[in-house]
Amino acid sequence: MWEPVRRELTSLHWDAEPPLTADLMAGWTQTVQSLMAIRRAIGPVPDDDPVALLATATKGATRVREVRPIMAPSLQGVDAALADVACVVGARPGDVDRQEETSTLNQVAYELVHWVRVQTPDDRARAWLQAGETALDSAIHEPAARSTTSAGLAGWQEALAAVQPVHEAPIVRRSVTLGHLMLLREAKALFTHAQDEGMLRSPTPTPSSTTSVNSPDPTLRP
Amino acid sequence: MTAVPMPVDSIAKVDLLLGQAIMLAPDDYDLVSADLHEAMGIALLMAAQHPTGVPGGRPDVNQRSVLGCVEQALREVQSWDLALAADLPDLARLRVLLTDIRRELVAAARQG
Repeated sequence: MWEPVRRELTSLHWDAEPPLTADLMAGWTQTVQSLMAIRRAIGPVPDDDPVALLATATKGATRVREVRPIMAPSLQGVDAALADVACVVGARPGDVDRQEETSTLNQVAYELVHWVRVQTPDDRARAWLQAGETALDSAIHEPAARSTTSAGLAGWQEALAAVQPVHEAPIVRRSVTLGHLMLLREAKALFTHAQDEGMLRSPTPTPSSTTSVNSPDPTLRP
Repeated sequence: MTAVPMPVDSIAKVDLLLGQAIMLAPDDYDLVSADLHEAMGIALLMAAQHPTGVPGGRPDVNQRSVLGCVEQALREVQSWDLALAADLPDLARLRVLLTDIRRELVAAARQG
C-alpha cells in the first residue's frame, strides 16, 4: 500500500532535475491535506494528534508575513501517492488494527516535514515547521496517552497559528504573553499536585545535599 | 507486528557501511559527523535487535569515501518497506539523517 509513497519519497531526494513548483508552502499545504485525509480514514482525529498538530504548524508557517515564494521540487507525485493510500485505508473494514497504519503515517509525515523545513529559508516559517516535526518525533518515540494538558496545548498552538499574521500587534503580544504566563502557572500547579500525591519520584539525595556545613558528618564524631 | 519481512541482511549492510563511513570521516567534530554518529547509533541498535544469520562481509571495496558509503547506505534504507515503521521506530529518523548527511557532503564537495 505504501510502495508508491516510498518511490516518490526516494525520487524527491535523488532526482537530479525534478519539476519545480513556484511556491513550496502552497504545495506543502496540499500535501498536509493529503496526510490528514489518511489520518481521518484511520479514525477520529483529536486536536492533539501529531498529524493535526502538523496541520496547525503548517497553518502557522503559511501565515508568516512577507515570506517570498520558494522554488522547490514539486510534491505533486507524493500527493497522488498519498491520495491512493487514503482510498485504500478508507475502504478497509473498521475492525482492522490501525496501529501499523498510524505508525507509518507518522513516519512519512515526519520525513516530509523535515524535507520541507530544510528547503525553507525563512526562520519563522522554519520554526513553525519544526514544531510540527517535534510533535511527530514525540509521537514516534514517546507515545503518550491523551490528557487535558496535551489537548489544551494543542488548542493554544491553534490560537497562535490563527494570530500569526498580526502577531506583532501590541494587543496580540500582550495576550500571548498573558497566555504563556497562565500556561506556566497551570504547569507549576499540576507539577505541585503530582508531587503532593506522590506521583513523582523524589530525586535521590546526594551526599553533599544531606550534609551541611552547620551539621558535620556524624561519622566524624568521637 | 507486521507481515512485512525484516530486511536483516540490508540492516547489517547499513551497519557496516556507516561503520566504514565513520572510520573514513575526518576527526573534526561538526554537524555532519554528529549526524553520522547518530545514524550509526540507530543502525547499530537495529542490527543488534534484528541480527542476520549471514556472516557480515566488508562493504564494497569501491566505497572508499564517506559520501560513497552514505549514498550506498541511503539506497539500502530507502529500499525498505515503509510498513516496517511500526517495528522500526527509528526508520524515518535514519532516512532523514542519511539524506541530510548526503546533502551536506555533496554541497561541501561542490564548494571544493
